[in-house]
Amino acid sequence: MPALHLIFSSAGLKSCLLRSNPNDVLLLLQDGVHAKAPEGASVLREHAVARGIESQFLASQFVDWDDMVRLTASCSPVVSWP
Amino acid sequence: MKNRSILLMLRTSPYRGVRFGEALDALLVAAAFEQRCTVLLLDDAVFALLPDQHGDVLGRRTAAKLLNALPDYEVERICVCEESLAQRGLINFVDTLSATRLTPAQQTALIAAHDIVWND
Repeated sequence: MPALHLIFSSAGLKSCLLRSNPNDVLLLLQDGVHAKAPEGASVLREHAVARGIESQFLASQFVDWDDMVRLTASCSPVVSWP
Repeated sequence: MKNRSILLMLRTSPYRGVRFGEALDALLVAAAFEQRCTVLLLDDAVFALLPDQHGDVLGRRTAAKLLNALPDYEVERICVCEESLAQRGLINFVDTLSATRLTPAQQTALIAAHDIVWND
């Protein structure tokens, strides 16, 4: 089962990238949406919209809260990177 | 209670705020309930291994002493990121706690091998 990495900041992304598997799921949220999104990473749409940077992402990158709940159920472990 | 393995990843400097000590306190509670616990020190948290700390001059608990006490609470494994040590010029310091040094790839495997991962 892939791990789910919840990324809350640029520093968190940096630490995460060093220690994640290629098949893991990366999700940027809160101020993590300002980090340079790696290819394949997902972004919590609400948090990008709130910060006025929705147009920086592809529609296919966005997830909503329901998607996030589904991801937490299908991945293990869930790792937060503040 | 179901036995689970818990990995606590500490990333912030031990004297920045109170997260470091509080996160370890939470881990000790888990260990008291016979959950298998591991600690991994990354980024600025590696400074917690330095000898000669005196948290008492700040009215604080000394980080190295907290780590040193972990085996008494059945937390047997303390690991540290080799790369974080190297970035801070700490490859050759005297680590009295003998933390297990892990490469980033070994840390990836460590994360995958635990049921629950906490980050400070």
